Amino acid sequence: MALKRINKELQDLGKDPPANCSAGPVGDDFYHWQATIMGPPDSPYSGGVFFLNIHFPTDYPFKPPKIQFTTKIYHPNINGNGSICLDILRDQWSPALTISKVLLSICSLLTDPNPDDPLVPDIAQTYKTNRARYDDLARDWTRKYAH
Amino acid sequence: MKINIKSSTGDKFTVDVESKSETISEFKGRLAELSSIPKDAQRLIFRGHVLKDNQTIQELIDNHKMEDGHTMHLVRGTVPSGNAASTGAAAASPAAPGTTPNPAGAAQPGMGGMADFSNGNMFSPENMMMPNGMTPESLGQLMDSPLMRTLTDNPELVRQMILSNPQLQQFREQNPEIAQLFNNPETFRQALETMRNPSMMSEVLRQTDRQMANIEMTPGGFDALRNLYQYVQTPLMDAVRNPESTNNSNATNTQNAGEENPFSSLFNGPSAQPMPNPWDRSATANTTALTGNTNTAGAGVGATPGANPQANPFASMMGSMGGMGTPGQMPSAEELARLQSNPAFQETMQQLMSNPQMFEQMTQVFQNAMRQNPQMADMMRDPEFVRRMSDPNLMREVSNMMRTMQGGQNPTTDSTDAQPGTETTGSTPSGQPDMAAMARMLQGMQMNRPAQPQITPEQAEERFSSQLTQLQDMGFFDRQLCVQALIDTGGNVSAAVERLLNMLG
Repeated sequence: MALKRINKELQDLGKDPPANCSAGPVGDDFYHWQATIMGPPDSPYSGGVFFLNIHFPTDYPFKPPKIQFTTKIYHPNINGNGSICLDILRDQWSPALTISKVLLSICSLLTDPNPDDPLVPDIAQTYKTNRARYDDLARDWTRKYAH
Repeated sequence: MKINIKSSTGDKFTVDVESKSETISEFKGRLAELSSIPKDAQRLIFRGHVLKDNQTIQELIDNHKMEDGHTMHLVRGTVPSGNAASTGAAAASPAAPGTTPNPAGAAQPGMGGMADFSNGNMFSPENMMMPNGMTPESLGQLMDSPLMRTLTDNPELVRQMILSNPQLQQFREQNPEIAQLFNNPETFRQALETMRNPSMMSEVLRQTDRQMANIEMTPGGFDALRNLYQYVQTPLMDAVRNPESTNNSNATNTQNAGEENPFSSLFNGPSAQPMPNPWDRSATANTTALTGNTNTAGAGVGATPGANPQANPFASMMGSMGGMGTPGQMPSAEELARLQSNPAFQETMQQLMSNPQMFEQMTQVFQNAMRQNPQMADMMRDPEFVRRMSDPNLMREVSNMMRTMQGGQNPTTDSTDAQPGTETTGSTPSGQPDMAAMARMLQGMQMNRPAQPQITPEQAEERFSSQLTQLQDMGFFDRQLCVQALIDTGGNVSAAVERLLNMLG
């Protein structure tokens, strides 16, 4: 079941991937994918290419995939380990969601961080109180780690 | 086989692949004609993988099951530098010999460039050192120009130039710690040397940036940086930005030397070592020793003997306070003891303690932590307490206690190197705080301290008014009880709540 669904998603992604996300298996293991997100143009991450790791549980799509950034990123909802604080990856997961939709959600999280539910309080604080500084730091990190 | 390309510029086009042995490099060459992105700057992404130049289309079909009609992403990456740098240098270097022959005059046009530092983020590498969009290479060339040569070979001249600026003069008078820096010709020479060498400079900048980030991640670190900005950077900037000293020919920025110093003293010079933890004094000291010859501003974190300790009051301040603030990274007691017996450190501490303004700054760093505990803040403002804190005996006591507390995690410390008069050391290897040592320390702090008058409820009501409002908002309406709870807990709202609940229950 899981494998069939994953294959279907892979085919769809190959033909018509979202504008700034891309994903596919690492080697032969279809349960382990790698994805890239191009920093959205209207965000300080613009120009960066961010890598992510995706692990599908064997009971996918009834359980959410595990997704982590492998590229360092300065973001209030993404911590140093690359863990992402996103509701649809946890309690708001629905079997109707696909990797493509999840990646798009992550893209929109990059454009619009959610500082009220932060994973890195320091960054959230900076985002709230000194937006220019947050933009600068996010741009610096993007240039340093995602180019 | 047709491949669709989605470009990050928003373009979409379809490319025909005739030969499956075509390499990605060749494929990119064809894309360069279709898109506005030059071949070298192209990054092709398929199924989450960045394609390598030597891969072939056949490999993509084998490894990634690429089929007719599949889509690749095309992104603009960074262009390998080189061209941009040399044009920048060409523009910048003729300006240098053109500046006025009067050394003091030459100093001032340079200041113009520094005004740019103030907009935006002072900590980003570009703003920090290259205000006019100069690349490290162009700066290096500039530094090699004859005029700059004369300057760099003669640090005394640079110093004179800086001293002759009345605004800077004023700044120095207000900040004796920084003035020390200006008085040391060696710092100028080293700073200029660093600027001349692009790779070294970029390394220094990279490290600075990284360490800034490190400091920032530490509790209170951001406040420390903000204070630094407020008390050092801004006045310095104001001094050099003042209209009468700025002729705004933004050609040379020699005076970056003066600019760089207050900060560079915070950091070590370039090193191949992994980034040292800014709070970990032992690690930094070691690194400093290893990289001593390339050190930008000489001193590391104040602990390095003979490395011009007065020059970096901030560094040692941060180092010492950081150590106290983060017990998890506490240097071992031996190191602390060694540090205390180091005359350089003592002198710095002395300097620190004798400057109330500076101490005030330091307490601001602590204020986040102290907001919960106003009594502690009061204590820190009490000069008597400060004096007690600087007492070497007490510090030794504290460090011993720290060691005892760390006993569990740090089995290598044994009682053989216990300080005289601390028989309790090592007696509690379980890692539990040594109560006796703690009690003695507290006693030591209390000694000689004028007995604090008991706070009356009226005073407390005034002092804890905000906390009191908070408690009442929570539904604790008995004012008297609330005030008493606040007095008992030193104004800590959550502790007071607990106490009140216990009382009521």
